[in-house]
This record gives sequence, structure tokens and C-alpha cells, in this order.
Amino acid sequence: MTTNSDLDQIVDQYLHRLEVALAVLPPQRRHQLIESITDHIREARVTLSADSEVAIRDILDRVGEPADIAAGALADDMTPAPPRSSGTRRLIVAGVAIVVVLLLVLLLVVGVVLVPRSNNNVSNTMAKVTTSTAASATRVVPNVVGLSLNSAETELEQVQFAFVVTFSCAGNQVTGVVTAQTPPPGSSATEGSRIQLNARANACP
Amino acid sequence: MYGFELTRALSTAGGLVASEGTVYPLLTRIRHDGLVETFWEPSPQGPPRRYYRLTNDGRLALETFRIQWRQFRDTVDAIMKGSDE
Repeated sequence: MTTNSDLDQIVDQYLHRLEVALAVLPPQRRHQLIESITDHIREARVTLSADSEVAIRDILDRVGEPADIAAGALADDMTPAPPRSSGTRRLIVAGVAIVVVLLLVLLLVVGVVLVPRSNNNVSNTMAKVTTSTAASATRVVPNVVGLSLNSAETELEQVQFAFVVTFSCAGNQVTGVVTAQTPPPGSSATEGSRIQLNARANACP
Repeated sequence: MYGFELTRALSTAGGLVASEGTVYPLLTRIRHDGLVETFWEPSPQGPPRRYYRLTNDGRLALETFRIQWRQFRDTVDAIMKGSDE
């Protein structure tokens, strides 16, 4: 019989393979990707009527081979165009551009009530800072315990840290508040490294 | 929309992405480029979710693409029509 922890293990093995495949990416980008895909798998599992090995394998199949995801991320990371860009390469780039646009279109459709925001400068400078993480400096880990996930994220990204959140079920307690962090506030860690956060969720799958 | 919703919508649209996972490198890129931003919202059936929304820069990029796409499409259509006859 396959138990729940066996299923978790299948997911963990997959995430481990993904981590290995993405090892060449800059740490912050790698951690963000792994975080998104971890969330994706968790959301996909929530929609299942019953957690079974077949269903989990199907979810992972749909997410795709770690090598393919890594290839996409790497092609994307080559900011200066390669000197000999072949016809196929150009085609792939065109395909990627269209998918990017479709993402924007999908977001436009739902984001009608978006309040105009004037934080363009912030996001631009953030993009610039992120590209210059080649030299891995040491930074002091800020205290984010007690903050909402949104504020914690802003704090951590300002000092170039990535993070991964583990949620615990907490009945009807306030949701999305950080309850613990590793490494602790005030300690130092390499730029781009991953801070482990614990937060409360209002319900559990 | 949250990540799972977005990638499912794109992958069921058919033929555009190899797998759901390959959408995430693009999402993290346009986030770095400032075209989208993310925020956390509680979910009714589990942990909070990371939602994505367009920034003003994102809207602008989309508008620019719309114009370029129309021109591109018209040019290609005109040439294709010529070859039909």
C-alpha cells in the first residue's frame, strides 16, 4: 500500500532532481523557480479527489522533465544573444515571446480592478540589482517573524535573499503570518541564499 | 491569478508550452523585468497562494506587442493571399 509519506517522497525526489538540474542558475533565481514549482505541485494535489501514486505521477508528468525546465531557464538566462544564432534558436525565441505575451494577456483579463501603482522605479532597480549578484557577498538576515508573507518577501528581496515557506495548519488563526525563520534574524548568510520560513495556513488540504 | 491557475490555463490552451513547469522560468523572468508583480492571498482550501498581476510596465509591453502583432499578421496575411492566386 502507498502511504501519504510515500507520495511525499515521490514529490521530494522530483524536486531534488529539479534542484540538481537547475544548479547552474544564480541562487536567487533557482530558489524562486523551485518555490513556484513546489507551490504548483501542492495546488495540483489539493484539486485531487484522492491522493494516489498514479495521480501524483500524472501531476509530475504535466509539470515536465527537470531537464526541460532547466533548458528553458538557461536559454532565458543567456542575456546577450549568442554570436551564431541559428534559425531554430530564433524560432524558439519567437515561441517564448508569444508565451510571455499570453501570460500577460491572461493576467490582463483578471486584473481589471488593478489600482494604478507608481512603483515602476522600484521594480526596475530591483531587476538591476538582481543581475549583479555574481560576487556573493554576506548579508545580515532581517527579522521577518510576525510579518505578513507580503512584507516578509519585500524585506528579504531587498537584501537579495530567496525564501521557501512551510505552512502549518492553524484552525482559524490569522493566515499568512510568518511564525519562525531559519537562519535566525541578525545572523549572516550569503547573498541569494534561501531562508526557511514557517507560516500559518487557515486550512490544510 | 495564481501560478497554478496560470500554467494550467496556458497548457490546456494547447500546443504552446512543452509542459506546465516550463512556464515558471518565463514567469520569474517577467517578474524580474518588472512586467508582473506578485502578492500573497489566503486561499479557501489550503495555504496562502502567490498571485500574479500586471504592472504598468506590463500593460505597456502588452500594448506595444498588440500593435506589432497586428502589423506582423497583416504583412504575413497579405503575402499568403498573394501566393494563393
